[in-house]
Amino acid sequence: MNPLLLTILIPAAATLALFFVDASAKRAIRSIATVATALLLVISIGMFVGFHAEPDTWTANAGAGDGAHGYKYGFEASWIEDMGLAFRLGVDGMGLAMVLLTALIIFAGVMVSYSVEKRVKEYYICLLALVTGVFGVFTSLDLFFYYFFYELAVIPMFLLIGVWGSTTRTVDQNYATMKLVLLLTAGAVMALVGLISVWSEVGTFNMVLIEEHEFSTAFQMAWFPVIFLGFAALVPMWPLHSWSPAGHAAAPAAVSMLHAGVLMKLGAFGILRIACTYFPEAATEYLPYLALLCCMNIVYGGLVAISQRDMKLIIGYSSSSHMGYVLLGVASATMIGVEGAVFLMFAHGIMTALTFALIGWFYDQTHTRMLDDLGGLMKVMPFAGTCFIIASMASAGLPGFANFASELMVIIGAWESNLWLAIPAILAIWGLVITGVYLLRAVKDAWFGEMPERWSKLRDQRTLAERTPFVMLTAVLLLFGFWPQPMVSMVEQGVKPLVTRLDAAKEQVGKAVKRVVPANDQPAREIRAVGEER
Amino acid sequence: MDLVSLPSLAAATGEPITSGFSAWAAWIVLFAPLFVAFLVACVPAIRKAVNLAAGLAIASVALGLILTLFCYFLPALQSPGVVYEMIVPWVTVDGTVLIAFGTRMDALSITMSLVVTGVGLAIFVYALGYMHGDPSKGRFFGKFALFVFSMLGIVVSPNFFQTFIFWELVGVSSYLLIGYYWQKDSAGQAAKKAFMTNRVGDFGFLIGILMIWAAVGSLTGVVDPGAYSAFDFTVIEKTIEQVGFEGLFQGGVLAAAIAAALVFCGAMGKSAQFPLHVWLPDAMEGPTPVSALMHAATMVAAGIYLVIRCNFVFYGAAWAPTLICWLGGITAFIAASMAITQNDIKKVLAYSTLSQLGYMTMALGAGAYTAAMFHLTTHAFFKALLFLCAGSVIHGCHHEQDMRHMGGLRKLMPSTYKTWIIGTIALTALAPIAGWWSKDEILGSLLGTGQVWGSPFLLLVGLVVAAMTAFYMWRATYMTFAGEYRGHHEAHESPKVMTVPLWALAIFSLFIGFIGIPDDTIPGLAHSNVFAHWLHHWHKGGDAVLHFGLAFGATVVAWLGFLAARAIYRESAGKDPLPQRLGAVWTTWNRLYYIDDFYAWLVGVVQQGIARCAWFVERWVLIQGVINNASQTVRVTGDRVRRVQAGRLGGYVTSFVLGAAIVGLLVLLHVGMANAAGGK
Repeated sequence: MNPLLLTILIPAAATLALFFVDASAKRAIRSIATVATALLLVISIGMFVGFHAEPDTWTANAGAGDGAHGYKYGFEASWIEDMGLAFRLGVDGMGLAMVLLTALIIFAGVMVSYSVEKRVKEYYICLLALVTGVFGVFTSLDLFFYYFFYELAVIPMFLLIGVWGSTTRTVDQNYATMKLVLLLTAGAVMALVGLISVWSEVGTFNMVLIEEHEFSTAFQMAWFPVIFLGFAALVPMWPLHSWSPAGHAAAPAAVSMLHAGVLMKLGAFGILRIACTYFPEAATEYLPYLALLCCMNIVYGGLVAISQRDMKLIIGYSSSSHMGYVLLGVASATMIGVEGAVFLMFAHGIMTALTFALIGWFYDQTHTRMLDDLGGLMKVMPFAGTCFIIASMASAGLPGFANFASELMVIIGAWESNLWLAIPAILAIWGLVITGVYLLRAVKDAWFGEMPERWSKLRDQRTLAERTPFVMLTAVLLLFGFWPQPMVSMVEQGVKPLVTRLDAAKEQVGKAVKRVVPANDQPAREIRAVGEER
Repeated sequence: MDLVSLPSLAAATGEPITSGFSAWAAWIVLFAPLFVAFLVACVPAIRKAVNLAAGLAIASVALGLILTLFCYFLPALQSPGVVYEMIVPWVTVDGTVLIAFGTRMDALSITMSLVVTGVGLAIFVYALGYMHGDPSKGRFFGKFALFVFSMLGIVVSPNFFQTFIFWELVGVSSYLLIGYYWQKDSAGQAAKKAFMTNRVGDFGFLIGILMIWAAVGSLTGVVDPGAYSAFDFTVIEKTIEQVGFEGLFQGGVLAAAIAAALVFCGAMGKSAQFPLHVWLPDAMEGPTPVSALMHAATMVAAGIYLVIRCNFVFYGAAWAPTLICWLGGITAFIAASMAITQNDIKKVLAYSTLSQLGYMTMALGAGAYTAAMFHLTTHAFFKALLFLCAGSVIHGCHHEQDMRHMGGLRKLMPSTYKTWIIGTIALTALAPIAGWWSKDEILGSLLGTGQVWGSPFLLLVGLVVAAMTAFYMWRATYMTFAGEYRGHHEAHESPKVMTVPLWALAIFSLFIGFIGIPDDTIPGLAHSNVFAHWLHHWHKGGDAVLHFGLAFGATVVAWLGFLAARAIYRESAGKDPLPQRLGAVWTTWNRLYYIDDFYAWLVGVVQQGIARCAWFVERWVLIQGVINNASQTVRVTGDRVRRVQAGRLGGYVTSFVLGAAIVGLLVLLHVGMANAAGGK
């Protein structure tokens, strides 16, 4: 059976199955969710391993050499033929990276959620429905289903935060839930308007066909901003970001993990897959301004994180700061930068999921996340503390973790693109310093120093089941940190056609493409002969 | 991914070396400590069997030392300019190697590797005794091994990017070890400070690297990087050799100077040069073996090593050498003056380290790379020795670090005393051992350099600092070892496991200086400067010659400093008359020129203020002003509109009639206008 179809059918089937399980059979419910997500993980890893050997099912722009865009593991079932609507699945390297990310996070999230005791059945139903939607977005090759799955992901999110979330001193649960859903929907509706206009222009929902369509420059210039902003609200791009930290702060651990780990990536994925791919000319015009906006993400997000005392708000603003790097990679429109951006989406997803899982672990016991209340937790939870330091180090861009390789690729790409005199790149490097400030402070205030007496009863992760998600996420960060090439090669398969398109568009509008690392047949920059000058 | 072992581009003479023992050995030297660190981290049984963990760590360092020694004695490397490189592509984008990873064994990396593993081995053995009874000794040795891995990674790195990788890793392992006593608030603070200060340095470093990478990468017509990336040292060196700074950078030599200064920012962070020196003294919060290995002998030398490794970026780069030289001079002086006012024995040594690093940096600025490397080597031995002696004193005095509560240890700790004296003489250059030769070579290089503006003044600074060095070191010696014991508990000599490494390092400190005696100094020995000949490839600037007048002068000022310290502190019994005599000067020195206070203000007030502003904008402008107001507007509008649909029949009828009237009017208007248009 088609593995991509399975990634949607399995969580959907598990969701349905859970409806028929007795609500008091918590063990059975948890087992169903665990087995389903474990299967998803196995399938995703299988696809990842076999990616390069797999032949393309569909190829967009097949005759375009480097611009040929292959989609693998394709699946198609006709639905409403009159409208050209079909249930069509397929992934390129970019999509599969996101599929793998989602599978890893949902598996960890399900295991972390064993501590949920309230309405367990409904909780897992929502969680699995959410993840069905997410898989659908990453794998759909049909605009209609793309949007359908997107909305499918948002609704359970509303319930998950609204029912299982918590109100703290910093954030009101109802407020955060409403804000999150309203802004997500607002973004989605904006994107929808754009998608409909695309459909009315091309006359099909088939994303492979749309990709081959050449939109007029005027159409591109008019509709790129609409679709882009719709997705950018989800990333979240500054200044549309404020739903995100509040949402994190109110959400339960596993939902924060999915939210920061996966949902935010839906936006960046949409920007790459739809906005930039369909409208390359407009992209080359607008992306340089994105490079400026994402500096606000990086620097401003980091500065706000410095002034927070609630751990989840710190990580929430940190996420918005890190998504700035993703946007910067996209804005650079170079191979290195965009590959780095997609790689960073993966790395940041894993890292931030790990962090939220850890915060959830102690919050369940302490019922506070304020740095002033914590301290010295290393003494009672050395395992959690070690994992937290590892996650913080990864987030701060330390070598050995996937985040380092990807963030550096983004920075190199931004440098190579030479946008705005490389000032965004320099600010991004300064962002690494800012990240260090708030993360090391969080580490020091929460885990080091004297421990208040009341925390002496807290428990660490002890059993295998408790430790598995943390060990798994850490191992993934280290694996791709030490050996990034498999991920980079896979992402490249999806990014190369896009960057080729952008380059072609740039040449069309008369902007010279200068690459620091030239492709093999491109002439290198001419050098002034030393002898002549003297 | 293929493992490729390519002929080195750098092989100036002889056959290119495609493989061989040295190439493989470097990988083992590098990864053995990481393997141990990994075992300790992941296998609780090993972590808990503390002596097993320690044994493994020591074995990994010893293995590194032995293999490096083999490489050194292998005849192949004895011919100058030979390089072993074994490189694998790490990140390949679009068929071009973006980042490569590998090892490079040449004379310079072997020298540094010998220093790291040699001094490291002595300190590891010593730590076995020093950390005795600490329940988390296993964790300690795991982190210690991680550090050695990171450091060796810098040493054998063949390219800028890999250097940056291990640069950061050294920062992390330093962070972990400074914060080893994490229950102490001050340790947590110090660890954070060290990490952040280094990060600020790395900010410039990375920009510098990218500048050079972008320039070299766009010039690949000159040197084909092949499996090497445009980050590769050899590729960069060859490119600069062929096209010069003017051909490399579009901004010419000015851009080259900026790039060099930015790369030096990295060195400034790790080697704690002014104005990024503030973290090093605080780093003494870590256990003493950590201070000895990282914050005296090896990690802080990384910056010096980096500049020597990529000297082609610095040499002749307009004003960059002058900047470097002056920063070194400033560091040497301010650190020496701060050392005079310290009462904590480890702090004295910390500031002394800063000051000596300042000397090395001055040599770097002057282009005397072998002199800097020579001083780095001798300094590593005697400063490690001094730190271990201090550790032994602290251990013997039951964790007392204040010299005012010591005294009289000469009789109580004879081995520590004797080795300390050797180390002090080596450092203060009273007699021609170790530091006497290396420091003199640095001063001599300042005399001969043409690329530094104001070098005579810096030479003067060097001489003054030499006197100050002798003063503060003998001050510490008298306060600690002379007179009667003033402590609270009985002091005792340290166990053999600690004193044996002391003696090993002391013997090295005695003899290490003789490998760098300038040529023709001793009649009949035309090639006595073994060290400089060995590092021939890195030798730029003038030849090392013994300037007898300078050597004599430096020795005299050192003796003056010693005699002054002797006069003041021999009978002082722990009381320091200097604060009264020097007054405000002493206070300034003791308050570290208020630099730390300034930084504390910068972080606590300025940075926090900016962060608060950002939060204010977020909270009140974006969230309250835009989003909440928008939702409020929607709600209010909804409220108003709702009232229209309130169920009152009269209201509906009125609206209906009004609406119908408006529609009718519009239709009439439309028809009328259409008629008017048609009529024309």
